[in-house]
Amino acid sequence: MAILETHDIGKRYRRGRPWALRHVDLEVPDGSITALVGPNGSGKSTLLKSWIGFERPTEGRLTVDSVDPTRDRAGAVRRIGYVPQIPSLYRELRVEEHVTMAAALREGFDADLARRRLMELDIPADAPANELSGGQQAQVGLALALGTRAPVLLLDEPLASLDPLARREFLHVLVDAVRADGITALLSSHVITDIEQACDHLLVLGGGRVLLDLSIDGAIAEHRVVDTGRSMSPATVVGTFPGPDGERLDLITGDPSQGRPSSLEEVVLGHLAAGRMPR
Amino acid sequence: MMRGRVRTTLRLHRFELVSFALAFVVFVALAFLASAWVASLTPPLGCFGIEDGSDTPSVVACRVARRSFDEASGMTFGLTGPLLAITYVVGLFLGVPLVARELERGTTRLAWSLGPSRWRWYGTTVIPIAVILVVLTFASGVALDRFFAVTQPTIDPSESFTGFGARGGLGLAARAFLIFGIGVALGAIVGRSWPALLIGALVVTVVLGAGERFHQDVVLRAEAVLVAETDDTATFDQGQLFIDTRFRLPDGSMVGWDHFNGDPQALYDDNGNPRYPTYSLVVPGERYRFVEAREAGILFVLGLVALAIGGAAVARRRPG
Repeated sequence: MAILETHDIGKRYRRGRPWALRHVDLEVPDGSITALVGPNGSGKSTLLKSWIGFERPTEGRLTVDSVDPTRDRAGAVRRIGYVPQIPSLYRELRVEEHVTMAAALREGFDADLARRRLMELDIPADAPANELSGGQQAQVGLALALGTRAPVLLLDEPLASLDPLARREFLHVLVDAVRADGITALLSSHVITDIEQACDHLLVLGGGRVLLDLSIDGAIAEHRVVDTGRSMSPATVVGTFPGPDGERLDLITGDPSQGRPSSLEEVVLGHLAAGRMPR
Repeated sequence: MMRGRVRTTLRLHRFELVSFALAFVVFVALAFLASAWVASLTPPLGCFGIEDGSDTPSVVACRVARRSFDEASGMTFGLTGPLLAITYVVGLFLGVPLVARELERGTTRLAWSLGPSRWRWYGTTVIPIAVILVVLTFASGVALDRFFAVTQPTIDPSESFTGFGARGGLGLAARAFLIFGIGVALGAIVGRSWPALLIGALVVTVVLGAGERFHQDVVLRAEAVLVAETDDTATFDQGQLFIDTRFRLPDGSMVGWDHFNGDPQALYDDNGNPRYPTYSLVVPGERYRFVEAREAGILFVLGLVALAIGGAAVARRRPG
């Protein structure tokens, strides 16, 4: 069952400008931690913002837990905990004041849960937001989003500016929370190792469309890697990408006897390379 | 729940609130102190009519008392300028950043993702500041009214249009509220504080200027009465609000300056005497309180309309 869905949605910011998203049909399985991967400008943020009602699709429709945010934005927001790309904390407020504010804004906000999570991370409640490190700010954002007790968590590249240790801690908290509460998380990220660590489903966006929609295990199992030009029929070449030493590699699907097993990073690279080619 | 949100709003705008509140408290207190001082020096009302050059003891006493009173009034008059200025600008400086700063800093992404109702967020952001603004500017208007009353002891401030728009709690609070509403709306639409502040200053100047003109040329003109002008200045009522000059033609019809195509010679005969009886179109001073209350009501409603436009912008726009 899917808790997040899009049906042929498209988004263009201005008439005459390129489409940020076009003909996107996807479903995010309920209870999954899904990675949303794609290059800059592939429409990841636009998609997440559309679900929470910050953007309005130009065409098509989308739902969150069967609620269409373009018709019932408040209903959609009630079902979503959102962590933006840049931590959007109030620099004038202390951590505890953010929790109080969240409780004032959101009916049913679990302030105790948010406080507990922050305490576990040793983030002082009386610390001013502008004195927190980037990782701590991201953790406060995550704690607030989890405190909403929403069934869906949308995370818009929250790891982008974090150091490896902060990323690891963030993902640990995320996975724990998702597993404990049975919620669904959609994590937009560039960092493949993070995705492998935390996610069980993969969505690859490129050129404004969905390039891949598979479980992480399925994605790895279904693809193999061969040196460019070595693949033989009936295998299908998905895309060609540079290997770690500059060699050209083909990501193929459909023939488990060829080449070697692919890594998740190679699956993503192959599909992103395919997404760059004209359709 | 509501209290927590209001507390957050006050905390977020603490710097502006404390700065303006301090300025108001200081200037209002000074205005009341100055009023008390000037009032203590006010000579008997009879002294204000004396134009006598004689040196009788009573006239000399009046002259001395008047000099002290005039000096005190002159020294303290300078207070009214800053108080009036902050009363007019506080609306923009408190209103514009309310939404614009949050959009600039991106904090609306957090607030609007936590709170399902943007109207509720908007209400709890705007209302506490609006209440503080109205209280501060009302106090300022009352202080200016009091100062006017003691420095113009021959005029009843409740029945005089002298100083209209520059005193009175209701009138000044309503003006500040409208300016605040315009500031909030522009901040929400433009989404950046400084550009919205500059545009706001322009819009407020135009709106208040055009509003005053419409009020005077259309509303007040319609209810003004004709008063015959005489050479006797003693009969001139200082409390009236002058609207226009009218002339009675021999056929009994009343005309204005435009009837003579701007030729003042047409108004006088060869001996320099007026050809036609002259009248002033005025609003009597007794209507001051009514006119002030009506204008305040209209300005409050316009302020609410501006705030509603700001709310609609918040409900529709991207969170920065």
